[in-house]
Amino acid sequence: MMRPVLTALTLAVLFIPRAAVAEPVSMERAAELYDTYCAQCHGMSRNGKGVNTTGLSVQPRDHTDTKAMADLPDDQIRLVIEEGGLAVNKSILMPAWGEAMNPDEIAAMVRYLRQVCKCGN
Amino acid sequence: MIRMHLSLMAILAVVLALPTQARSEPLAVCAQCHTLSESDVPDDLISHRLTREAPDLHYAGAKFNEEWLVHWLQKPTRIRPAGVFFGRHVEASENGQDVVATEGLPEHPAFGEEDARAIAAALMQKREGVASLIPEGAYSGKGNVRFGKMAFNKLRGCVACHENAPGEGGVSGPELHSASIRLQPDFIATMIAKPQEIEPRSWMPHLQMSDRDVQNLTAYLMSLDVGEEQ
Repeated sequence: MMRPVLTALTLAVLFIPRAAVAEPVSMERAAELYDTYCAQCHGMSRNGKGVNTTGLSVQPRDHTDTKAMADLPDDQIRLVIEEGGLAVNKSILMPAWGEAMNPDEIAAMVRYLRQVCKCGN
Repeated sequence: MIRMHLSLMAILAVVLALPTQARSEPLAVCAQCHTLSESDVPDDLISHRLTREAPDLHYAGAKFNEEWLVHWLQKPTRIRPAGVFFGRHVEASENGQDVVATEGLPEHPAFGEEDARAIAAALMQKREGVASLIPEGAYSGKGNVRFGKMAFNKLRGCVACHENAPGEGGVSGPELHSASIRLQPDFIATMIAKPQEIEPRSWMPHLQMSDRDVQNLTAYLMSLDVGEEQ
């Protein structure tokens, strides 16, 4: 009785569609996502001096600022990426990216930012 | 440097191919830089957006105004101040500020009137995929220009990425001071309301706007004076 069940389970695992298996988001992909969504304001150098920032009333955060970034908990970084600046009482100029990036990508972005700021916890 | 040479060679090849090809197969020259069919858009949209030479045109017929296309193809101007992907055309200045490296921006080839009309007509037939997401009447025509201006400049921060006058505003997105003659109002309204559905993986954020905000912003963009430059 046990063997047919195991066989069925094995087959089921083998034939799970590839898309249903979440692949880990690499740091290389997180860097590409940063270039795509974040760099226009936070800068290709990640220093808060992106190409759009010269006329902004509120300057974007410098992600290379180790001390300031170390003060931000992971949950707050994730929330501001997903829901935008207003969700953490910051500027509306930081938009919500929850429709552009999925939760796994946002989690990877939080890890990537810890690399950029050299403030991993 | 190699990429710049390749871009220049591609443009040269396009220019040399222009006169005869444009009328027999109007979009053949476009296909050398633009993706013209939804099925040709790669699955990895992030990589596609970071590396493509020109915007996708598979739904051009639901996006552009034909008369603008005819005019622009004869006298093309830069619509995206920092290129199709800003990251490939910025460099850090001495104080670390990213600035547009204009010398590396490719120029769009210009066409004669007959070719421009043939290409524009063929592009207007392109209504693949997302065209069904752009309903007729998406823009009601009843937005409030003054509220739209306030949303654009302050409350929703659109000006951070888009120019609403030449040289004024952000540069990672396309200029919008020409939106009223360049784009169909229903496209503008739908792009504001759900950018990720129209351009999946676009770096235009989805701002969860109310329909009133969408209508006001569209009314504002439709009101902008494009001056004599177009």
